Amino acid sequence: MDKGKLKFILLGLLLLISLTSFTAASSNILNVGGPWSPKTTDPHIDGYSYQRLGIIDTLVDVDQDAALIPGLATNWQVSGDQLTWTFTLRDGVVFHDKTPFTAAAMKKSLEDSLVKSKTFANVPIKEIKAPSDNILEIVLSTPFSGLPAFMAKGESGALSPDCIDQGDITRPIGTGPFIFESFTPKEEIRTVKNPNYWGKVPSVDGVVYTSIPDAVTRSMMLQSGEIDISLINPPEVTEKFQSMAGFTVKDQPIHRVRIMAYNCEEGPFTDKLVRQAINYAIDRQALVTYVMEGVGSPAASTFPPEFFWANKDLQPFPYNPDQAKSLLTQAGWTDSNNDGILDKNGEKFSITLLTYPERAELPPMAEVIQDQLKKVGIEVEIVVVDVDSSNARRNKGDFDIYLLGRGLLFTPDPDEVMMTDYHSSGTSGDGWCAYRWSNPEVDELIEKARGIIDPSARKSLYDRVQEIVVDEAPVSYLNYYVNQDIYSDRVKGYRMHPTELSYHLEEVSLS
Amino acid sequence: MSSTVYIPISDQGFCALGMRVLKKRPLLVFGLIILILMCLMAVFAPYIAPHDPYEQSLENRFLPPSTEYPLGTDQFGRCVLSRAIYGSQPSLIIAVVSTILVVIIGLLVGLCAGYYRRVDGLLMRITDIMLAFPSMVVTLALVGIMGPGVPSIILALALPGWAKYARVVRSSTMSIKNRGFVESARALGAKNRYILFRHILPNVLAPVMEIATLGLGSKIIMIAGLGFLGLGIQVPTPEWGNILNQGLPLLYKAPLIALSAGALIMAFVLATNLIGSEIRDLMDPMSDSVKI
Amino acid sequence: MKRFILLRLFQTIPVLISITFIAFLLMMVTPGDPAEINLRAMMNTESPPKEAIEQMRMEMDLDKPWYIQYYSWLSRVLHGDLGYSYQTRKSTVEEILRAFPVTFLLSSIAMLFSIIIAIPIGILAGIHPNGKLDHLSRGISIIGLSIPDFFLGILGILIFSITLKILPVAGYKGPEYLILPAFALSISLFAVTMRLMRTSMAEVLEQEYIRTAISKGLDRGTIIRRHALKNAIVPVLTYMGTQYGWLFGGAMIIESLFALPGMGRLFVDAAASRDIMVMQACIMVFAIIFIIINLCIDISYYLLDPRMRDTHE
Repeated sequence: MDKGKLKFILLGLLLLISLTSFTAASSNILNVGGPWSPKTTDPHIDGYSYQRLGIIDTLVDVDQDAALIPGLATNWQVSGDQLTWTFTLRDGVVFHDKTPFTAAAMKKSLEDSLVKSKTFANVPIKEIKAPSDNILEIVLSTPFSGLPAFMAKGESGALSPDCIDQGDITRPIGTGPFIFESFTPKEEIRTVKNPNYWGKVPSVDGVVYTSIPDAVTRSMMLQSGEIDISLINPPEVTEKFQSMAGFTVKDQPIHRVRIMAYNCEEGPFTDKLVRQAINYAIDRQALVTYVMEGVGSPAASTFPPEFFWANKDLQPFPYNPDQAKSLLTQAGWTDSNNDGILDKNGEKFSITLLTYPERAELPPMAEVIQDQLKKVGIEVEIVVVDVDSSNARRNKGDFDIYLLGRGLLFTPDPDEVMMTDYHSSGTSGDGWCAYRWSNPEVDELIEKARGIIDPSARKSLYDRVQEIVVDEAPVSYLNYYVNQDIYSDRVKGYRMHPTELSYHLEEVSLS
Repeated sequence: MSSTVYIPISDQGFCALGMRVLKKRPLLVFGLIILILMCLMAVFAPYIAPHDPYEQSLENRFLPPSTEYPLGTDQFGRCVLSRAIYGSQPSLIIAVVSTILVVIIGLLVGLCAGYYRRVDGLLMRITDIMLAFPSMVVTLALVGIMGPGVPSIILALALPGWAKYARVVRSSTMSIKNRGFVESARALGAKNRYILFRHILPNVLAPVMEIATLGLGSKIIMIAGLGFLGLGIQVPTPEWGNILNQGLPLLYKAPLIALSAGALIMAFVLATNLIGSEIRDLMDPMSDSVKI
Repeated sequence: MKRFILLRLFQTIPVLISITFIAFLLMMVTPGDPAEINLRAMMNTESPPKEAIEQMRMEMDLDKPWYIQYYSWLSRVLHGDLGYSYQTRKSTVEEILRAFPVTFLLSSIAMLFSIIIAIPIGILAGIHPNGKLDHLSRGISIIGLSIPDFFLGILGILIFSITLKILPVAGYKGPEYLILPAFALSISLFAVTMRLMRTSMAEVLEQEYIRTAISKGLDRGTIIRRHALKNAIVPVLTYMGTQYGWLFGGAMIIESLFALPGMGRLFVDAAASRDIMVMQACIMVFAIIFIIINLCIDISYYLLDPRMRDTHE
């Protein structure tokens, strides 16, 4: 009998050991874990991940101060009538499939992007020309100062002609430092290094980007060595790693702001007074101090003050619940039945706050906001669903307040944010910001600014826009972001980008 | 209802049985004590809990255990102990109400199917269909559609749960129906309904009680599972599952948040498991089947 | 025998039809236009044009009475068209095919754990009832039945992944990623199997023929190995068979905790965002797995013991 029992146990142990021995041996592959997963393998539809991972390059690049620098184009200029932009392309660049990068190829790529991507909906491109192998001309129908900035966006990335002929792109072939290898939806993207890259050739042999929406899981994987870099971590995670040997926490203020966007089409927030009242009901400093552990700063407007385009005269709203209550009373909301919750015409002030867990600090922030609003007599129900679903709900108008983190510089020019977030053409459609709100003066100012090249003249128009938006309050600005990434000591040379356009993995080496 | 369990088991009086239970079944007594304490905790939560479980005080975040906060505070400065105590309320209410619902439905369906041949086929096919889904699948689907909330969770737990009871009640009914005392009652002209409720129901109650106590425990786990997935009781209402979910990222910093909820779930389920298996033993002391 | 199997197969038909009907009903009661959901995925836009939606509604017979809608839906399903996921914009069939093997493997490993660990312990405990091992295993199974699997999973991550660093935390890049989740998933089956095996073994050893054999001076070890084990293990294995469907359908929380891309996580994500086409497909897959397992068990009962026929009306 003992032998039989032994056989059983041995068999079990053997199985366990053989299974565990699969654990990855350390190699020159960099493992990155982040919350996002692209929806598609077509960078012209959704380009963020492919650009950040260095699979595709763009004509224009962005430096550490968010200024435009040469990318695939070595320089660019605009004609006297401000309608033709001429880009001189870099020599000797080849796509991952060995076809040369030429103006004709770039024309084909951009034209594909214009059809597929929503990014260029407001860019007045009339025609793209390729007069020679290294000259690309973009002809506009009306002057547009933000054009080069749009050429820095992932959706404008250069893809090889063969790749575009696939139609529905399943294998993006770019010119970047990394070559696309495979993509599993919601799981991972794998790349290998491009030894023929025109810029700095990566030191690592390849990158595996794993999508792990939950920040805690991500941090545990970092700790167990499954990933080398964990992107975008909430304070309760970074705090633990600050003092832990073998890991580095890196802070990077980024051009991103946390906001509450109101449903201006339906419900109590159609009333401007109510929206303004909320601005006073939120203790912005408490959110930063307690939810963000002091990382970040209270927000006054959409742009952080260190950013050129910010209206520096605007100040964050002070916390003043009494002011909030009196504004609410003015708007007709009173607690007539003394249940602690305001009501108007027999209806309770009970609202839904929508947010998503991929940015791990948002749900706890929502809970503090819930408590703060309760203090002025507003009952809040929090709905937390994944980012795609919550955005879909937002686009259907199935919310009262949408709490989110809004990126401002995916296009390193204020025009995109202004057009999509505050111009009536943007607020009436799908998006991330003001919902079904419009203001004729704002529309006019934004349109006017598009044709002005002189930055300071443009800025004065945007300053006015910011002033109106803060007063009308279709959104409340809460605080500005500081991204915190954590990496293990195996990783050398990692840096973060203030506009989140790149992870700069070609600069990373592993020890 | 709980006292009726014992009566049909044997002819012994309640007191005699009680004494026997105390002497011979320490585990049953232990389980009952835990269960009763849990229920008292839920009912008298406002008197036991040292603080308001909703009260945020951001200055007092992550306090270590102290006399004022016996288990410390959470990330919003709320009292961990008070939240764990209040957390028992939704779990217990939902588990008890949904269990009562499934018992009633299960009894009705099972009695009818077992007693009236005509409806047996139809009712059992419906039962088969219900049993063709793992219950958690149905529960999640229903909660997904109806949205989270106490009534929808109760319904989502009750709808798939009754089939198991119906099966058991039906087979008990079928075997009792042909026993001598029922035959003679029928011969004496008793009506069907009288026989069903007077003779058959008391005799099927024991197995039902056994599944129901075990079911109570598994429902607590399912409710916590829903809360853990973010589909159950929504924050800020404290519930063991959502406390566990919120405590997970803070496991290093404030392990007591997750552990307090986890321990209470375990204690409750342990109690129901002990009681359930002891009831089974009492009913049929000879059988040694799956005794734990 | 053929007749029995055929009869049993025949009996599953109404169940299958009802299941498809329930899945169909799910689509009907959920707010949202199925045509629009499909078009969003096919045209890759959040708001497809009105004419296209109308066209699609006609194609899907959504303008007809419910029984025609059901018929048309069912025939689409039978042709492998289960619509598109509202979240990923991929076809539901593609999603299911990707997720199914993961859960299949996970639940199989969980089952294996119970077989290779719980059964030997159960046997030993049954050979020496009320021995030390028996008490220990009773304690383990009481705790095992009381601990929620996801709580055990969390504790497992803390111990094996963070502290000891011998197992990965989450994700799915190889079979070793399934060890911890499978272990957590198997806990209640593990507990019951262990006790069942113990009881079954103890009962068999009490049987007359075994006692006779022992009294005749045959070696106890040989008797247990040759005769008792075989008889004692059959009910345990059949019980475990019935539990496979539960493991398969019960992996939802564990898969979410360990970020495994299986059916359970697919279903949870779908339920959380009311991704109706995926929910439908998952429910049908879960139910069909359940039915197939029950069918197999009934047939194997029948093959093992023809007397069972009577209890199966």
